Amino acid sequence: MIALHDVSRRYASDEVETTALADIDLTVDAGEFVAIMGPSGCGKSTLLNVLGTIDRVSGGRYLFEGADIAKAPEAELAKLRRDRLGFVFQSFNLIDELTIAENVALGLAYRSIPAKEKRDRVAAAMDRVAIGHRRDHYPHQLSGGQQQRAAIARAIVGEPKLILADEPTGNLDTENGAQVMDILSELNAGGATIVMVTHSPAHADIAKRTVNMLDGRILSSARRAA
Amino acid sequence: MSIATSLYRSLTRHKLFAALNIGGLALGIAVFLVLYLFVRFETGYDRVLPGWQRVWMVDRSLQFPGNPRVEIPSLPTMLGQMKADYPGTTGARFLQFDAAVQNGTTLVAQTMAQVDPAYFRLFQFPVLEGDPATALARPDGIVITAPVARSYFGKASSIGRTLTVVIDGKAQIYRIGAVLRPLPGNISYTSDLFTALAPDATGQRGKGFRTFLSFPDAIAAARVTRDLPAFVKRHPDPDFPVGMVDLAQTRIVPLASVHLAADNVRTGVTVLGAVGAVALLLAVVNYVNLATARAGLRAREIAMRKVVGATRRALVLQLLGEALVAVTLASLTGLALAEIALPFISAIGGTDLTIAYLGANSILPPLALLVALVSLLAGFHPAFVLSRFQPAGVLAAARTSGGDRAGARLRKVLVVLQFGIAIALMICTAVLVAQIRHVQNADLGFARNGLIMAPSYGVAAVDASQRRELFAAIRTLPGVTAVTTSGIAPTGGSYSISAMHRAGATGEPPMILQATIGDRFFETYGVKLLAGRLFDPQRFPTDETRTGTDADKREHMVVVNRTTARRLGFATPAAAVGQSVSEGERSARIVGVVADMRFATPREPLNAVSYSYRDDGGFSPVLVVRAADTATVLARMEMVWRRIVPNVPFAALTVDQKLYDSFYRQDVQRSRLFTIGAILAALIGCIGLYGLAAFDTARRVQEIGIRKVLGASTGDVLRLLLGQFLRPVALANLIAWPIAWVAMSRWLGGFDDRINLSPLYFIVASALALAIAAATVAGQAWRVARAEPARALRQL
Ligand SMILES: Nc1ncnc2c1ncn2[C@@H]1O[C@H](COP(=O)(O)OP(=O)(O)OP(=O)(O)O)[C@@H](O)[C@H]1O
Ligand SMILES: [Mg+2]
Repeated sequence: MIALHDVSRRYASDEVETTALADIDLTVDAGEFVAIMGPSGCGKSTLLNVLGTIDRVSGGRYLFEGADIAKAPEAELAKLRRDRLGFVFQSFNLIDELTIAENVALGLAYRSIPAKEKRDRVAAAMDRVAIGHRRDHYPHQLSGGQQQRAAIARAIVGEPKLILADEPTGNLDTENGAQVMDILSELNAGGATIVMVTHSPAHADIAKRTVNMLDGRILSSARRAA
Repeated sequence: MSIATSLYRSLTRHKLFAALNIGGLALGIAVFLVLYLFVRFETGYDRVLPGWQRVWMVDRSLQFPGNPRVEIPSLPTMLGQMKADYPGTTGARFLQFDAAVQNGTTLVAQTMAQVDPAYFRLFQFPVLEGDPATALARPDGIVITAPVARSYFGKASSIGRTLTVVIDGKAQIYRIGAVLRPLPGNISYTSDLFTALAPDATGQRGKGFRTFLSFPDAIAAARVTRDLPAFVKRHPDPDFPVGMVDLAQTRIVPLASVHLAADNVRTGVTVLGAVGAVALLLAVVNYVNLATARAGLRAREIAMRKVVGATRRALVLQLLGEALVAVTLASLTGLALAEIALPFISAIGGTDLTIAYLGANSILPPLALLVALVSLLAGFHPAFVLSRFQPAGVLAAARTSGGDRAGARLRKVLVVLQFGIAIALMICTAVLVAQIRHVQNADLGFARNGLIMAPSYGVAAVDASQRRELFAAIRTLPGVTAVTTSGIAPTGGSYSISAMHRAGATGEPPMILQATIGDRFFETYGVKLLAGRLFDPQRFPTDETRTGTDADKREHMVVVNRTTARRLGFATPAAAVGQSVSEGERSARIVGVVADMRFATPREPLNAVSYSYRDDGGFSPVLVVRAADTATVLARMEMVWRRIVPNVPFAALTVDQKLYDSFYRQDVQRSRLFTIGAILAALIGCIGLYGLAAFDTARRVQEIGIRKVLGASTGDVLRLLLGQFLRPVALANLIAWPIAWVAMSRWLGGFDDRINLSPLYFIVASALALAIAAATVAGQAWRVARAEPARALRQL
């Protein structure tokens, strides 16, 4: 489904140049559930952002379903994100000024879908993560686990083919973390491809493949024995 | 941490915020200060000399039905009668005219006033040297002002020296008895030279006398006011025909009320004062908006202060203190801006404003008051909002508190208000400028360019044979295409008003302005003949109207303008030709009808005029010359003048200039002040919008990042942000349009010659405001819309 060839990402900030990613070769097939692990600062989030097209590569090729989008125009990438991708962040990134329902609806905001269908899909997504009863609350009125479930609802309301989750359980306790992992597994079972960054070996075990990173490079990629 | 260090840090940490906030406020304060000085100058008219409260002026006017009220001089006998009828009354008469001072071989035109000795007790002018009252005790004594003294005698004392003054062509020698200090500009009635009025001034009847009065107390003044109609009946004006007595009105008015008595003058001052207040208000709104917007960013600081034990009182004091320091800084900057701008403002606004730091007119007390008021006004709301934050809520929320939603709503309301006012001011500016341009270029019924008028032709010192000689010499000057003389002239001249009656007509006969004109009057002005013929005394000797002879009794020939023909009840100009109308005992035959000429102010309706022909142009005629190159011809005319009447100063100017001086100058100057005020007010509004956009986009970086992650394109985000910033501006039109419409239809209503209040002004001003607002926020919106989402989300 997606393939990175020799991808690198360097950040230039006043004199210091940081290489966040180097010589990345990675292929993810449709329907996979990939966990990315590695020490802090090794480039996991950067890799995920590159996959999600919200960060540019400094070099290399990024094939999305066969087409090279490494240098695609911004508008095309926006369309790709809108139609194919779903994001879940460690820090939720819900908008404070909007209610939970409005936050979830944001996932459909840039598509032309009839209002009624939008409402139905938002309600369905919220029910799926068991957050429907909180629809009119504001993010700061919810617990961390509830906020993350809302963020997942927002990511899946557009029925994306590829879900990118950056430490989705990082800010949650064990029980809430387990809930989130259940939802992700369910989504994967339903056909969605998932790439997830995590520090938890237990959660990585739930994925079908684990990619280990160090200093911006991929060390190893191991498929879980069936 | 003290207020000062806290403010210093918040200023240096948020440089943009500080620049916008203090800069905007300083601009608002500068506009306010300049216009405050202007209003103080205008409302301070005739309140500068000690004892001004006790001075009253006789205000005498005449109004024919259907005509504007005109001021007429007071009678020289009135003062004596007042003193006799109301014991305790004192006063002085003031008769001003143009004189000329002989300086070597040249004559310098100077204003001169003959006054009663008591004049200098009523008006206590500051004296440089000598004593004005004793100076005027001698018939050849003269009092002059310091600038005059300096121009003739330099720095040396001028007491006891002599001055040769030419009055009505006759030279007289005066001895200087006192010199007055330079006078402030806001005194209505003053003069360069003062001499004594002959005790029996009745011979001077009909000249422009003013009578100033002073009463023992307010009760006496009130009694005189009440009794004035009876007084006028007891002492009728011997010059007034019986029928006209009811048309005249005599009042006494406090001198200090005279300057702002005219509606349009008062409105002008009020409006400019309002513009100053509005500019300040907009700047204060900016401060409040930016301060509460930043409240979101400062919420954590405030919450932490509360956590460590600051009371709400302490926080309010801290925030008010910050406002005080910021406003003080802005005021000093504003004062400096005002100082820098004043010479420029004075030049284009025709004012003479200065900022005084010491003395009674010191700017410092009002400025201190302003600082206190603005600090409270600007600091109160942010202090209240910020100190109310619940620390737990603020610290728990990822970023800003949910309470900021109300603040955001208030900010939107204030932006709507700001732009409403700014757009209204822009519309008004457009209409103002268009109308003022219109009156300066409008068709006046005659070709206004290339006309020169010489009022000095008609002064008493120039006799009939000199006039003939002048006329003949000027007509043959190279560059002169036509010459005429007439009593009536653009902006005034001499004429009379009387009723004209059409045989068989019913109802009140219309009052018609009676003008005498000389040879080739209509041809020189370039007036269109609508029906009949113009005067042609060569072919029709009876065209000449004679007075004072038997010939007066016969029917005389008149040319009337279109308005007269209509008022007399003729359906068309052609219908009036050949018709007879009676004018008092005389009868007049209409030989022609010409187009209306607008000699009066554009504020007044066109006059109905009946022209009769006199070889010499009539009483105190004005010479009017048509020439392509007015400057050259003016110089040639002056040479001719000096040869023929060397003892009378030459006074001539283009008709354009005369119209500008009399009718347009004040409007032009005031509209310039208004325009500057309006532009700066709009600029202040934009500064506010820019600041809000800056803070709002900074606050929304995360949200924008998320939207882009969810598939929003740059265009989507740009549309979202611009839409959100511009919606209040668009909404502002709802406020602006009605205000501007009401204000401008009222103002235009004061003009007879006016433009239509076209919707174009509204649409263009609104579009312009929208464009300016869009340009103001576009940069910021573009920046965040373009940002890589990953970077935006990492900024947290
Ligand atoms: N915008 C940027 N400018 C400069 N350096 C950056 C930028 N973004 C990331 N980096 C650097 O790139 C490297 C990789 O960062 P990244 O966030 O991908 O690490 P990570 O593996 O996700 O770490 P963590 O587990 O702590 O989230 C780090 O050294 C980081 O400092
Ligand atoms: Mg990371």
